[in-house]
Formats: sequence, C-alpha cells, structure tokens
Amino acid sequence: MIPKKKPNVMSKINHNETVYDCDCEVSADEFTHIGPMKNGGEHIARRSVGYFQGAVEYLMRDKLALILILILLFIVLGSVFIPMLSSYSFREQHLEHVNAGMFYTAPDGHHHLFGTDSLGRDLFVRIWEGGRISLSIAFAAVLINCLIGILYGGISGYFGGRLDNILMRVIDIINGIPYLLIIILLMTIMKRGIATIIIAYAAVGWCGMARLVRGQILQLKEQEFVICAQTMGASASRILLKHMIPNILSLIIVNLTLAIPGAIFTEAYLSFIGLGVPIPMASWGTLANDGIVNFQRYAFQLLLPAFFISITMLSFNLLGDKLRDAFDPKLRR
Amino acid sequence: MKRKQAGKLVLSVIMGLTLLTGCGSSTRADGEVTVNLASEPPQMTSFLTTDIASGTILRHVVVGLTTLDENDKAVAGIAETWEVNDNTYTWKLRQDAKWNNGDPVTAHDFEFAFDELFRTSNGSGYASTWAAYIEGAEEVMAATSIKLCPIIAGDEELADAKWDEENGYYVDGEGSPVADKGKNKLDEYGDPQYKACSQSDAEAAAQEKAIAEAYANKGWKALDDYTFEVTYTGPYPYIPDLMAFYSFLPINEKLYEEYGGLEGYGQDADKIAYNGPFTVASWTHEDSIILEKNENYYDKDHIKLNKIEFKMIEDSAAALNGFENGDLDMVGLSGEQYRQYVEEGKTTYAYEDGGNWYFQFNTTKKPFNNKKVRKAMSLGIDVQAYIDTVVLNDSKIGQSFTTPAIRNGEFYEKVGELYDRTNNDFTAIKTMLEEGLKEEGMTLADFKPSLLGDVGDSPLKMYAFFQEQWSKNLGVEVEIDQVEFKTRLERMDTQQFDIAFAGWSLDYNDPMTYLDLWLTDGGINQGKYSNPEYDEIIAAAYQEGDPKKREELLIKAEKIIAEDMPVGVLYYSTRNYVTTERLKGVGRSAFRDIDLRFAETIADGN
Amino acid sequence: MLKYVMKRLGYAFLTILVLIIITFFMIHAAPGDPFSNGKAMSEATKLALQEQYGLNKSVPEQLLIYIGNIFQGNLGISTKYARPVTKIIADSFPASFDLGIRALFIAVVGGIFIGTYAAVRRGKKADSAAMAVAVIGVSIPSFIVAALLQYFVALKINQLLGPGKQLFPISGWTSEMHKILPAIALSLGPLATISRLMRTSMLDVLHADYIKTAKAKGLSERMIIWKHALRNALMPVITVLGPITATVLTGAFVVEQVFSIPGMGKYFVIGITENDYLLTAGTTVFYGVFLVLSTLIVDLLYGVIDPRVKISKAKE
Repeated sequence: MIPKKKPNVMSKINHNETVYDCDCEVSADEFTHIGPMKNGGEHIARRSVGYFQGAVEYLMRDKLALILILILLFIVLGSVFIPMLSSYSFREQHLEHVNAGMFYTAPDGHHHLFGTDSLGRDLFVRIWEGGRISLSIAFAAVLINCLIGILYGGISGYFGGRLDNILMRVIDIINGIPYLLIIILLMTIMKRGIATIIIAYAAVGWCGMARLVRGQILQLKEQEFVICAQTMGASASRILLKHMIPNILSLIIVNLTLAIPGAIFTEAYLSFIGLGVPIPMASWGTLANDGIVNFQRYAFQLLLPAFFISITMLSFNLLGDKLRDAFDPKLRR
Repeated sequence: MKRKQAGKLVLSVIMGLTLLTGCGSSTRADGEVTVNLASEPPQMTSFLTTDIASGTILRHVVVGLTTLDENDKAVAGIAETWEVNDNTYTWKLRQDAKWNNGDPVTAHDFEFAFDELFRTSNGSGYASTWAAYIEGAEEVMAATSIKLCPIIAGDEELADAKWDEENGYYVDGEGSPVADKGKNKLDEYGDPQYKACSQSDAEAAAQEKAIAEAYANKGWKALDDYTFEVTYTGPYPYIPDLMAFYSFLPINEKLYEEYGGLEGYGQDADKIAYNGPFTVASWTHEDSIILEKNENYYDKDHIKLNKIEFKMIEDSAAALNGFENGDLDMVGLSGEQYRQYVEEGKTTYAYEDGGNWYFQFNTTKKPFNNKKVRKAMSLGIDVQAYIDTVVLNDSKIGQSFTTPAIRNGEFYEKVGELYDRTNNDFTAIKTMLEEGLKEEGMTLADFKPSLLGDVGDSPLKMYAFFQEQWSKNLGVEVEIDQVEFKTRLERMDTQQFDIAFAGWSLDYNDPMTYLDLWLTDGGINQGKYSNPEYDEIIAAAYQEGDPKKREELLIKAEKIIAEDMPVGVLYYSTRNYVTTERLKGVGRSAFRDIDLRFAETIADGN
Repeated sequence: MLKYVMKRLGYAFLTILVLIIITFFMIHAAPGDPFSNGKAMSEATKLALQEQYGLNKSVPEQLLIYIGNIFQGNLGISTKYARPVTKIIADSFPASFDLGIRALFIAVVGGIFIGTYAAVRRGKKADSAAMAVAVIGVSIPSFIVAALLQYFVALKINQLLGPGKQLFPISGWTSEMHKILPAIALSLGPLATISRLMRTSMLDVLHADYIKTAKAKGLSERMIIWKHALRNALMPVITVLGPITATVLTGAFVVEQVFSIPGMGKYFVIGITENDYLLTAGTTVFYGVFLVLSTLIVDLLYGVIDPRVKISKAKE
C-alpha cells in the first residue's frame, strides 16, 4: 500500500450555499391540532428492569446457563441425599473386595457402581459424601473471598495512601508466615472438622482477592465517573459499592471461580497434615490424593474425584462467564 | 494462514525434541552402580549420627573396631583380634589401615571418638544409651554437662539453686534439695527454664578439674598405638556387635579439627575422614552422594565396585519410575508397588527391617491402667487383614516384642507365639473389654478413646482401618488424632494421649535392644508402664554372664510384656526392593539398611 | 518517584521485621522439640544441644540475637542438618530459581496469549479450548500433574523409544531436558489463573470506548489488541503475578519432590515439621524479602501501565 494523501472532505462543502432548495411555501393552516397521542405516545417498549433482575432474566434465557445450573444443582442435591439413601455407609469396609473396578458386582451380590477404594469402601457413596465436604468448603471460600477480600481490597485501594500501605503490608505479613506453621498452631487449639478447615482457609484465603480488588480500584478511582460521583458528594461506601465494585464484578467472579479448586485442595492438604476432615470421612481432595498413589493400576480411583472436581469447576467457570455477561450490561448480547 | 504457522511451530518443536532422543539414558560402566538412598544424610559426624541414611554412607566409608559381614555377624574390622578378660576387652588393631591423609588408624582415633561421644556438650543423641554400657562413661557425661540453673522469677528459694554434683539434683541456699532426688527437672514447679550457671573462676576451675578427673578414670584407653582397651559395665554378649555400630567408629582427631570440628566436620564431601572401602568423591546436598573405591583401603582387593552413586529421591513413585527407566540399579518398593511387581511376575527382594509396630497405651490414664482394656484394644484388630490391605507385603504378625530380625529369629522362635492373633475371636475379646471397663467403673457407651498417630497419606489409610475394626469388632468408636511426628513425641512425652500408634527399630543384635524400653524409667516408656518384677528381671539380665540363664530371663521378660501389654504388638515390618540384573551381592538387613561393600556388577546378558 | 520508592523500601524493611518477630514467636509456640527423634535422650544432652544452638535463652533474647545476626548475613545453624542456614539456602536456591523462572515464563507468556486469544474469539471454539485448559490447570493440582507427566510423558515415551534412548529424563536437574517437565508441571496452575484473568480483563477493555475509537479509525485488530488493549488489560495479571512470583521462585515443594530437584521448597516444610527454628526463620525471611519486593514492583508497575494510578496519593 502506498500511502495516499487523504482528500479533505470538509473543504468541499460550501457553507454559504443555502440548504433550502424548494421554492414552495407551507402555511400554518394546513395543519390541524389533534392533541396528545392517546396511546401513551413514547411508551417504553421494553420493560424497565433493574440491574439484578436483568441479570437473572438474561441468565434464564441462556440454555447453556440453565444446563449448568441444573448440573450444579444435581451435584449439590446428590451430595445431600445420595449418602442418606445409599445402602452402604461411607466408612463401611469390604475387605473381601478392595480396589474393585467400576460397575463391580461381588459374588455375594454387593454392587459398587464406582467400585471400591483400597480399603474396600464404596466409592460411589464416598464421592457424594466427599461432595458435601468439598462443596461446603467451596461455598465457604466464595463467601470468605467476598466478605473479607473484596471489602479489604476495596477500602485499601479506594482510600489509598498510608492506609493502603499499612493494609497491604499486613497482607504481605500474613502471606509471609509459613502456612504450615499457622495450621500446626491451629491444630493445637482446634479439633478436626469443617469449621476448622474453614477457619484455616479463611486465615489466608482472602488475600489474593483483596490484592486483586485493590489493584483494580486503584485504576478505577482515577476515572471520570468516580471523580464525578465524588464531586456530586456521594459517600465513600456508595461509590465503592454502587459504582466501583459493579465495574470490576467480572474479574471478581472469575477470581472466585478460581478460588474454589484452591479451597478444595487446601482441604486435601489439611487432611494430609492432620487438620482436614476427620477420619473416615472423605472429600474430593482426599479422594484424589488417595487415587494418585495407585493411578497406574486403578486409574478410576483418581479419575472419578478428578472428574467431579473438574465438572464442578467447569460449571462454575462457564456459569461465571455467563454471570459476568449477565451483570455487565455492555456485554449482554 | 495463522493456524498453519502454529502447526508448523508445534511440528518443529516435536522434531527438535525427537532429535534429542539420541542422548540415551545414563549408562553405567561395569563396577559402577546407582542406587536410591531416598533421603539426605543429615549428620555424618559418626558420634552424633542417629539416622539410617547417614549410617548407610558411614558404613561404606569408615570401618570400626568390628564390622558386620554378609550375615550380620560381627567380624574383625580395624581390630584384628580381641581378648576378653571379665568385662574388659583388649582390641588389637591392624597396622595397615590408613586415613585419607595417609595417617595410620590408631587406638588414639578410637579413644578420641569415644571421648567425644560421651562429651555431653557435643549433644550426641546416642550418648546416654551407650553410656550405660561402658565404665566411666556416665561420669564423663555428668562432668561435661553444662551446668544449668533454673530461672524462675520471684521464687527466691530457686533463684540461688545450685546443682549438687554428688546427688544429681538442685539444692537451695541451705543445701536441701528443691526437687525429688534423681530428678533433673524441677517438676513440682512446672516447666522451668534454664540458663547456664554463672560460674566464679574457682567454680570454673573446679569443673575443669572434675572433667579432667572423669576423663582420667574413663573405661576406654589407648594402651599403645595399636592396642585399645575398653572396660564394659557388664558381661554383655553383644559387645562385638555393638562396636560395629556407627557411634563407635573412629575419628582422626587431626582431620576432625582440620575439617572444622563440631561446627564443620561431616558437612561436605571433603570434610569427612575415611578409612574404609570407599571415599566420598562428591556430595551434592539433597541430590546425590558419589562414593569411589578407596585405593588405600587395607582390604581393597575384596571390594568389587569402583563407584556408587547414592541418589536422594524421596518420592517412591519417582524412584520406581527412575528404576524402570534404567537410571537406578536398586530402589525400595512401597506396598502398592510391591503388589504390582508381584502381579507382573517380576523378581523382588525382601528383608525384615527390625521395625516393630505397636499400640502404646497410656497406663496413667483410665481405663488404660487396666490390662484387660489394653489387651482387648490391641487384640481387637485383625492384624492379618491389616497386613493384607494396608501394609501390602509379607510383613509378619507380631507374636512377641522382640522381632525375628534379632539373631536370625533364634530368640523369637524360643519365645514362641505369645498373642493369639489367628483366631480373632472378637466376642470373647469384647467381653474382656467390658469386664475391664467395668472394673474401672466404665461402660462401653462412655468409652471414647482417641488414637494418636502421624500425618501423611498412608497413615490416613492405616488409622481408618483400625478405627473401623474397633468399631466393628468391639463396638468402640475411636477418634483419630493425627499430628506431626515431633508433636506426637511431645504429646507422648507429656502423657497427653490414650493410645498411640508407634514403632521401634533395633540398634544392635540382641533382644535387649527392644526389651529394656519398658523399664519404669525407660526413655520411650511414655505410657509410664511400671512393673517392679520386670525391672528386676532386666537388671538381672544386664549382669548375667551365662548365656542360657540370660536367655531365660529375657524370655520371662517377654512373657510379662505379653501379659501386661503396656504395648500391643501388631506386626514386624518387612521391606521390599528391586535391583537390576547386573547388580549382585547387595546386602540388606535390619542392621545394614543398604550394604554394597560385597556387591558387584555383572555384564548384561550373562 | 525516588522518594516514594525509598519510603516503600522503608516499609518493606519494617514488614520483614514484623514478619520475623511474628514467625519467631509462632515457631517457638509450636509443639515439639528440635532435638527429639523418638530415641531416649537425657535431659543433660538436650540442654547441651540447646546451649550449643543458643536455644537455652528466652525467646525474646533469641530473637534479638537472631535479628542482630541477620545484619551480619548470618541466619544461624540448622538443627536438623547441622549446617548454616545461609549455606543451605545458597545451595538450594539456584535450582528453585531456575525452575521458577522457566515456569513463570511459560505461565506469563502462555497465559497472556491464551487469555487474549480467548477474549478475541469469545464464544468460538478457541475460547472453549482455552477454557478447558484453564479448568484443567486449576482443577488438577501440581502434584498430580507432576506425577502424571513423569509417568506418561517421561517414562512411557522412553519405554516406547526402546532401551537406551530417552526423550525426557525421569528426575534430576542436570540438563535442559531435565527442566522441561517440571517447569510445565509448575506453570500449569499460574498459567490457568493468568489466562482466565487475562480473558476477562481483555473482554472488559475491548468494550471500552477508546477501543471502539481505534476500530473506527480503521486500525488493524492486531494493532488494537497488542498496542492498545493489552496494556490496559494487564492490570489484574500484574496483581496476581506479585505473590505468584515470590512463591514460584523460592521453591515448589511438590514438583521438586516428584522430579527430585535439589531446590529449597522442602526446607519450608522440613523446617516446620522438624522444629528447626532457624531454618524456618531463615526461609521465611528469604521468602518474605521476595514477597515484599515483588509487591513493591507490582505497585510500581501499576503506575507504568496506567499513569493515572497514583498509589502514593491518599483520598482526602
């Protein structure tokens, strides 16, 4: 391409020329006054919908989103009810058929849909039982990230200066202390259990979210709409919650979905070092942990929990994408 | 267009990689082997060593008075012959053994090593165990202890407490004891902190004198360059075995000082004195140690390997992958891996590592003061099922406290089966448990004990098994308490447990290495088991010179343990390993974890 | 600017000081004893060892001595290894750093590329594929990835190639080929995180008015994305990179363990499980320095990427 000189379009228009070409005249009496339009005139064609309502409706119209919601619902309900309904308990050991494969039926009529683990425990029940733990942890992680992480990061970023500096250095210190040490000290004062796991996660789990939110707020707060809101006298909390957070909601959602597997495997790590779910309970993380020991011979023991973690993750992620579209009016299509 | 480009890139990367396949896996020449040591040896100063990995390296580079042969029998090492006179051994040393700096190995090197072993300020983990065996060692340990004074603020009586050397306790200003005799700790006052006592010049001089005196009266001496005399405290039949242990290896004082003494010795390849079959050629921490044949070794003609590389691959799956890839000549197998190899029909090897795994009961705590409860809890487990599903190899069910690894099972056979582990009549055991609980005023319903154990993946499985067995067989719901190893030790030391899952491995080739654990003041008797009869029997066995009578005493002690059950023995652990076909003559036993001194390589295919 | 950096360095120094103090008290509060090893040990021997390692003094006293020693470049002696902590770190850090840099490179370049590509092709197949990679990357932790890579990519391919030949070595840290699989295993998690954040952030930016302006001006898509959008979309990636960098460069325990890399990841764990107080304190300080510096760099980068961001300024 040879660069050409752009023709100057503007210069071609002669501003002195008159625009009216018609030589006929229109008189006022040719018009009659019919009054305001009876049917409402400029009525609003679309229903007026609020922010959240719009998002929900958008989501409901999307088939994929609906399917994802159904999958998640199925996993949640399955985790709640299947262990109750199953003929096996999650701790029962069938020592006569350990490491049974999937769809195994024992000579005595025992049936194990997902096979058994190395202690002969029914994996089908353990997977669903594990879902209870892992999903609880996942929801707790989301909640902690939202409550502490977003607020902490928001405040730090918005107010900036010395406060920001101090709040961020506190995060540095929390991140700097070896996590294992925190857990070992927690163990001296607490027993194994879900509450302990959540506290152990909460101790540091929110820091990443706080950092992310703070970084985005730092960028946002210099933008015109924020300055505008400030000039109009909006309170800090209003600016933060009403103006800034919705603007970074998409990132928050993505980060939340990323935090979920982190929490699930934090729990597995805690179990490994003695602070996770009490023996003989299971979680997806610990099931995957057990599975890796023998993956060459009994691949399904690793694949099953990995599948459930992945499918849940995939649903959360896709749903997260849909949610961000739903919550961001600019992106709705 | 773009997509194609990406495809091209991927293709060229793959081609690039395949070109690299020319460089094959490391091939090893004849006489060179690579084996997995699994972990970094943390302490290579022989008199401070307490771990197996360091012991394995030391076995290959330093020879003691005696050394263990292929059958774990103690044979002549640096000492060619020895004379026994009562409890005194006169070790006659060979004159052709040399250190790496060319110095001959002399009796003074042994004297120096013994001196340092028992110098309390060096902090040897084995010193107090061995001090009981050698005349004058306990006195040396006492004299070389750092005098520590308790710091207890506000307590004037203790502020000027002094250590009473003769009696072994703290005395206050008036000279009356501030704690019970025999106790170093001021237990009544909680857990006091100590600081080094400030010493006046006179006191310091007195201590120096005391140390000199203790060393002057010690029971080990170099009579001349090649004669070393040691007086032991009893007619122990296993002295030659003991002298092969790494605590008693010689150290050349000149090299020790040259290599940095306590702070520097044994930290790197060029900071270890060696007189044995191999030298340490290189040591990359946490990666590998390479040993090379020592051309100055007195018996070098019998050493067939030229080079041994010890890898420190901790992850057992990674180690086995390395073995299958041809990088390693020998690796250990986990239970799962062993099962897989057996299924695939591959050759594996096994040895008993002398590990004895048991439940230790806290006898100070109700209802574990009751032996029926202890018995029921340990017999309420189907141990064979445990071995088959959890241990996954041919480990043996425990039948007495001394494992068959001692004296090739000779003692174990004589003791016989003391526990009924084959019938697994759980109704009877449950009845016994209920009786025991009743005696303590408890019922099954309010018996909710906890099991203290270690952390990790396999413990998760182990404890789940025990928990389910107790629940199914005895109707007892046991809570599992998994803590870090050091935390477990602390909890056990302070009696904060009901039942602990613990293990013990041997030090020397005699039943006593297991049996003196349960003396009332035994160092790891954290369940505080105490039976005066037992204490008497062991004390008598210590001083019994007649092997037959001694054996009878020890068998009696075994029976008391089986009857009182302060610990419920579960199983003796067996380890499995594989080697490549080119590596022959590997020695592995409870006493020699890895021993390649007698190993050789044969050409492939022969 | 210089004044701000100096001020921040001052804060960094204080942060590390507070970190040491807190960690120091925490490690001493943890149960267990550095010298217990399951063997009977006399009280006198234990006390002698405490004296030898300076552990017989009160914790505040030890702390003061420790802080004093740090300034002389002395991090004390490890009770587990009986070697100076500085030497342990100096021996092991290079391997960890090497591995970390490689993993970081893969994660950053791959993550930014995949994330951007997915954003541009939103809703298309490429987007779904990127999503799948990301989901796998975050759903399967590095210890599983490492074990699978070692078994299937290294061992199985080598066995296919026949005896004496190999593509990827199983473990160790000697040649370039040794470093590929561990770096991939370590990079997968950060890569997934970065790509997801990048995609979202890029989508936000692509709908901004100035991008529309650029489009309207007739700039090529490539130009718009790499010149205009990328810079503004990088913000969240930079944020997460701070802590990720510090963690990845100072040793990844699991990956190092599976591939037998003599890195420093294990010392963070061993220091604590073995009650090796000074090893823990030393590794914590070392990690702390990395963490504090990387967050400082992140804050400075904010200003470079978006000059409107003024971190030093407080809301009045």
